[in-house]
Amino acid sequence: MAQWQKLRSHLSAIPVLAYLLGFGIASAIELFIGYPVASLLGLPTMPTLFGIILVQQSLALLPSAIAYDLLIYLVPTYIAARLLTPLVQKLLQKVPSQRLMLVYVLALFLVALLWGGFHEYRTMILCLMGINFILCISLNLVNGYMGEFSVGHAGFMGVGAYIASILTVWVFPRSLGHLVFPLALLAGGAGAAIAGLLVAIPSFKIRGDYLAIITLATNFIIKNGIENIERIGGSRGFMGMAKLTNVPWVFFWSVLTLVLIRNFVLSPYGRGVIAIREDEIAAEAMTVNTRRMKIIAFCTSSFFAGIAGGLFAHLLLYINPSSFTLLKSTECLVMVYLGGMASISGSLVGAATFTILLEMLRPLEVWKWVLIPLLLLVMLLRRHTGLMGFREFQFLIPREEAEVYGSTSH
Amino acid sequence: MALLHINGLTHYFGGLRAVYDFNLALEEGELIGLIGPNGAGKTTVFNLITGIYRPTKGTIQFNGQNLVGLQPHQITAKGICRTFQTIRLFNNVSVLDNVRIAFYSQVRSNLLDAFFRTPHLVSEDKALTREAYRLLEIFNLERYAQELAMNLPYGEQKRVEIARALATKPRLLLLDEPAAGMNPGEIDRLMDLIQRIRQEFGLTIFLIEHQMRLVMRICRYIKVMDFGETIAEGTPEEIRTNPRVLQAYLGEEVE
Repeated sequence: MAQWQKLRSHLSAIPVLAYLLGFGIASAIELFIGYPVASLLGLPTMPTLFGIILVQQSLALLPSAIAYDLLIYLVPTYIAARLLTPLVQKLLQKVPSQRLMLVYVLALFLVALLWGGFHEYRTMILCLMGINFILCISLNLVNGYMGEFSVGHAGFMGVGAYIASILTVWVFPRSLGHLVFPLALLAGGAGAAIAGLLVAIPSFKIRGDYLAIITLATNFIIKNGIENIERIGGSRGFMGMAKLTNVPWVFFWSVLTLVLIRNFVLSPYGRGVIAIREDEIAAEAMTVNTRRMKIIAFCTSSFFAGIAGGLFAHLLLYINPSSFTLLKSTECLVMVYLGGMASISGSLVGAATFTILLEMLRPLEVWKWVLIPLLLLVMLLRRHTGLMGFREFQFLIPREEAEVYGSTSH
Repeated sequence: MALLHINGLTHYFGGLRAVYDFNLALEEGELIGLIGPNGAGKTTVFNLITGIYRPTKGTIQFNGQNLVGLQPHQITAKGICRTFQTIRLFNNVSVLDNVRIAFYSQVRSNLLDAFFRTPHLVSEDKALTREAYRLLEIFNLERYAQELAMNLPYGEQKRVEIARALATKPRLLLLDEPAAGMNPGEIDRLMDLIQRIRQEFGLTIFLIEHQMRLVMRICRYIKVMDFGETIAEGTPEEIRTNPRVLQAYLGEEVE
C-alpha cells in the first residue's frame, strides 16, 4: 500500500502538459515503428485503438496487445514526460497565465494530429470526438447551467446539418470548398438558433418536465418536417457533400465553442443563467432578465448544435432524418451526465470518454447499448453529478476568476 | 411626493379576495411595518409591489412612475428589492456569486463582451467582485464568500439574502419576515443591522413581521391586515391598544 502511494505521488508530480507532450512523442515514434512492432508481437494489424478491438476479435491476442501498449505508449510516454518535466515546468512559469490555455490547446492539437492525423480511422474518431464535444458542451449550457431538461438536441443538429449541406452542395461553387465551409456552418448554426426559439419562447411560461416534453416535440417536428420535404431527399436522405470536415477544422470549431461558452458562463450574463437554474423567481427579483437569458441560452445552445451538425454532415457525407432522432439526442444527454453537469471540463471528459467507449465496444453491436447505459447507471449511482460535475480543470479558468476562487468554480 | 404610493390595491385569486383596497403612502427614509395573522394577505402585497402578481385593481407608483404591468426584474432595477419569507438563495452557488448575480442590471458590458471576454468586461467584473466583497464585509460574511450558500447556517443565510438584496442598489427594501426562526439574541442583532443599513444606504424599509418585539421597537408606523383588509394603522402605541387588532390576534371577547 505504501509503495502504491509512493508511485502515485511520483506520477502526479509530473505536470499534465508533460504527459501530453510525452504521449505526442510516443505517437510520433509509433508512426515509424508501429507496424514492425505489431508484426513482431504477432498482431495481425497495427492496433488502432490501443488493441481493444483486436482483443474483442480474439482473446488470445490480449498479451500481445498489452505488450504493444506498454512498448509503444506507456513506457515512451513516461520516459518522455519525465525527461520533459524540467522543461515544461520552466515553460509553465514563463507563460503568463492568460496564455496558459493557448499552450494547452496547441499541445493538444499537436498530439491529436500526431496520434490520429495519419490514420484514416483515428482521424474519424478524433473528428467525431470534436463534434460530440460541441454537442455536449452546448447541451450542457441548457441542461447543466440553466437547469432545464432539453431532450431534443439532435433536432437542432439536424437543422444545421441540412442547411450547411444544402449550401455547400447546391449554392456555393464546389471549387471554393474549404473557403466557404465556415460560412455554410455558420448559416447552419444560425438556422438551428432560429429553430431554438421553438423551445425558448414556450420556456417563458413552462418549466421542468413540461418543457422537456416540448423539447421532445421539437425534435419530432424537425425530424418529421425534414422527412416530408421531398426536395431535399425526404426520408432517403441527402448526399453529395465534399469531405470538408477534417481534424484542423473540427479542432478549430471545438476550441471556438469551448472558449465562447466558457467566457459566457463566467460572465455576469452566465451567472444570470445559473440563477435561473437555482431559483427563477429569486433571479427575477435580483434584476435578472430571465426571458432574455433563456432566449440567449437556448439559441446559443442550438446554434452550436447546428455547427456540430454541419461538421457531422461533411464528415459522413450522407445524412438522413433518422440520423437526428431521439437516439442521437439521448447520446448527447449521456455525454452530459457522464462528463458532469455545469462543467466545461466535464463536457470534454464526457465527449472523449463516450466517443472512445462507443468505438471500443463497436464489435459488441447491439449489446453495446446494454453495456453503455449500464456503465452510466453504475457511474451515476457512485457519482451522481458525473465525472467532473460543478468542477473545472484549472487551466480553463481565467486568472481573475481563479484569484477569487482557487481551483474550483461555483 | 411619497416614494411609494399605493392606491386601492385589490387582488383576487379566483374567487378568493386576498387583498382589498390597500392604500399606502410611504415617504423616503421611513421604516414601517405590516403585521397581521397568517393568511392576512401581507406577502401578497409584497408580491404585487414586486410584480410577481399583477393586481386585479389599483395603482402602484414608485417615485412617480407606474409599476403595474412591469416585469419583476424591471421593478427591482427601478430600486425596489425584497427578501423572501422562506429563504430563496441560489443554493448551489457561492455566497459571492449570490451577491454578484444581483448586479445583473448594473452590468454595462454587452453580450459580445461576455462571449469574447473583452478587457472591458474583465475590468468591470473585477470592480463588481470588489463591491460584492465590500457588501459581504458589512455583513461580516466575507469569510463565507467561497462557500456554497446552502452550506451556511440559517441565520447567516438570512443575512446573505439581505446583502444580496442591497447589491441591486435599492431605495426601498421590502423585508418579508426577516426575524422568522430567530432566537431573541439573533433578533436583537438583526434589529441593529436593519437600523445600520437603513442609515448607511439611505434606505426606506417596509417590513412584514410576526415578532411583535421587533416591529414595536423599530417601526414608527404600523399597518395591520386581516383577511385582506387593512383593519388598523398608526404608531405602535395606538396599535397595541386598538380593539380590532386585539380581536384579530386574540379572538373575540366572550361577553
